[in-house]
Amino acid sequence: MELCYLKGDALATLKTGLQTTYEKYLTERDNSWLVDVCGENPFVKFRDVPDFELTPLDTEFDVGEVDFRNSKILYRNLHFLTPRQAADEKLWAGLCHDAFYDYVRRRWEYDKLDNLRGIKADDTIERITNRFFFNGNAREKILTNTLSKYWWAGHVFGLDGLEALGLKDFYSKLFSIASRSFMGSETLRGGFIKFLRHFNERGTQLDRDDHIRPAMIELNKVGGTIVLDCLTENEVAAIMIVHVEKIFAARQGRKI
Amino acid sequence: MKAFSCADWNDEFDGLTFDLEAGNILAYDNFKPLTLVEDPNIFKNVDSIFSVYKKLGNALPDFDLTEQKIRIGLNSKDYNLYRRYCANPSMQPILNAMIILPVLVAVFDELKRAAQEHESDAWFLSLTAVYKRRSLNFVDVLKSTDALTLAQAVMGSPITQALKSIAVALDDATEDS
Repeated sequence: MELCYLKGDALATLKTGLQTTYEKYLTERDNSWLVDVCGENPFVKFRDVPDFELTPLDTEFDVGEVDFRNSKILYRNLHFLTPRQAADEKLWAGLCHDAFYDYVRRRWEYDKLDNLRGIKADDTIERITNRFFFNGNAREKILTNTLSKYWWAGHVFGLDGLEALGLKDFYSKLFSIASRSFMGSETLRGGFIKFLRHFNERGTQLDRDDHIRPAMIELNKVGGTIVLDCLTENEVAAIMIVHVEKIFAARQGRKI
Repeated sequence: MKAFSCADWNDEFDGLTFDLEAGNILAYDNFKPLTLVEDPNIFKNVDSIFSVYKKLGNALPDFDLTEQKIRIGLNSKDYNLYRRYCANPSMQPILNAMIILPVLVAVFDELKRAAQEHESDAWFLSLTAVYKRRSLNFVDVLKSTDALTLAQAVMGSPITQALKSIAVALDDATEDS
């Protein structure tokens, strides 16, 4: 499989010209229209990789499971990327417009025009920008693009950490967790994964809003008084575990 | 760490000791962010902070300051002509004077109005770093110098360079004929 990225000027042409071209994402099954719009081949070869496929979309898997599986597949196959390469819009916009153009269209059901009738042009353009390109601040944009979020999920959490994160509410958990600045610390990430595993191993399901977010808020609060990076992963995990156990106990009318 | 004390502390702490745990904060300072600028040759190569791209439609040229580079959009006809000649070394000074110079003047005008809005943009950091290497404060220079003078200084007298290129091209053409 040949991986290509978009040339810088082609990226600018396509991204700024969406007002004119957005319907092509809905109607064109292949990407041959890109050459007409850009006036030349808009792609540059990056490298060859062994062929791989993302999770089939016409199966019983719901959206969360598709994203969960794709994070593992994409990161395993593109693990060689450096963080700098993986933060480059030209790469991911290139993959979304070339090797995975059809997949990205079908992932968002752009191949089913009936579902898109009645949607305003501005909304469609915003969504195309988010899904095929980068949009938002430095953390948001890598977690919003259809493909880059899969790589960054694998990079931030590791393949084992993704299992700990689990299928349920996968993308919303990923976005709310990975977009926080403390996720830049390896110790804090490791502690967070240990916190998730603690409850997974006990068969306890954690809810994103009732348990995970409060645990992260508690960690953030403790970080106001001590430098969290000085702690070990186990100490970071313990802060969150104790807090969530108090939540469970309170619901059951117990005190810890 | 048990019973920690320091001889260099303020006199008010004389005789006092503290039991410290991992992560305890002893002091803080507001560190200035460290900026790493990649390309030192911004004045030799304006491509390092500019990119020219094709705009769809027939609109007039415009520029965009929201991306890593200052993006200059040309309509299809203008862009195709630009692409035809931009790799020609004798045409580059002329194209720089026609396309880059007016945009850079507009950029400096914008920065005079609202430099703080662009302080985290990569192209702004590149400009700041270049002035810093010359021991100049970019923001101070912005306040004291008009935009056209600033742009010409950054680009090394682009109008003069363009006129020289025209003269060379036409003198060569005259000799050939």
